Amino acid sequence: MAADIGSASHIGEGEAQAEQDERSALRQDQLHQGHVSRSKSRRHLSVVYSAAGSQTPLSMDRSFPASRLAQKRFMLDRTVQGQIGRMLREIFADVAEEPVPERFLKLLKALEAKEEQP
Amino acid sequence: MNSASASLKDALLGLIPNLRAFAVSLCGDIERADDLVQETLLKAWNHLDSFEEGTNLRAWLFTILRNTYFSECRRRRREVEDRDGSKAADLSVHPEQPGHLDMQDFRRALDVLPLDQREALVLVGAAGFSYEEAAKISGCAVGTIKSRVNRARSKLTDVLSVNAPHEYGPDAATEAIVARTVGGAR
Repeated sequence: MAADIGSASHIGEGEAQAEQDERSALRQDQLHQGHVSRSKSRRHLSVVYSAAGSQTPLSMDRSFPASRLAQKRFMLDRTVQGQIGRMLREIFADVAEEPVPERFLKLLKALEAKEEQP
Repeated sequence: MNSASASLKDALLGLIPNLRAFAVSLCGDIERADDLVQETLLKAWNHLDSFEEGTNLRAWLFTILRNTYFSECRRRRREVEDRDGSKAADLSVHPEQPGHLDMQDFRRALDVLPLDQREALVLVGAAGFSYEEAAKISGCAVGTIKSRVNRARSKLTDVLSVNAPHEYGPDAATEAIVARTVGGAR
């Protein structure tokens, strides 16, 4: 359990604004995942797949969208999310893999030394 | 008098690079980040006795760091969030290399995300914390973290799609622009 040190707090975020943003974000997510379908309803799912002739494992996934455009967007989004994740970790690792700067080594040594004084 | 164990102090030393990485993601430049880490280390050292050994030291330190940063921002009356997303809207217009997915574009996009979204995204997507841990560090509900992460990813997806139409296809670029102008992204 992380102790709460430092000034108490979190940044004040208006609840109304947060809710609105969340609804809009959910709509965005749904668009990306193709759930907000512009054409085919789920009833036509099996017809679309057998007409296309392919049975990839992905098509068994209930969340995989029916329309071809929505499918494109779905695959595109997965690719983009994967890339976002990789780039985030790379940016973080850039700094996290650097050696500890001298200034902090000195600081810790000084703090330790101060402790040992009578 | 600090009675905390030597191994705890070693662990503290070992976590400095991680803290620096988190600090940079919050404040944007390495010099300010290192000042922030310095303050964090001092506070942590002075409160080491209150840390329960065996619990998550990394999360504890991250909490101190972000609380220090957020209260410093309030003290300086700095604009903490780009709430209307106007900076983000300008971002996609000048990619370094049109049609090429660029790390520079990504870094810039990350920097103009609202602070709370960037913090959530970095905690979960870069620093490897769970949603629950990230919620504790940020002092908010798990649902709030999830929605911040979703919004951050959504904005980054928009920016990346517009910057690299050849990689992602014209559909994505058009959709990103429509989403922005029709009032999807704020």
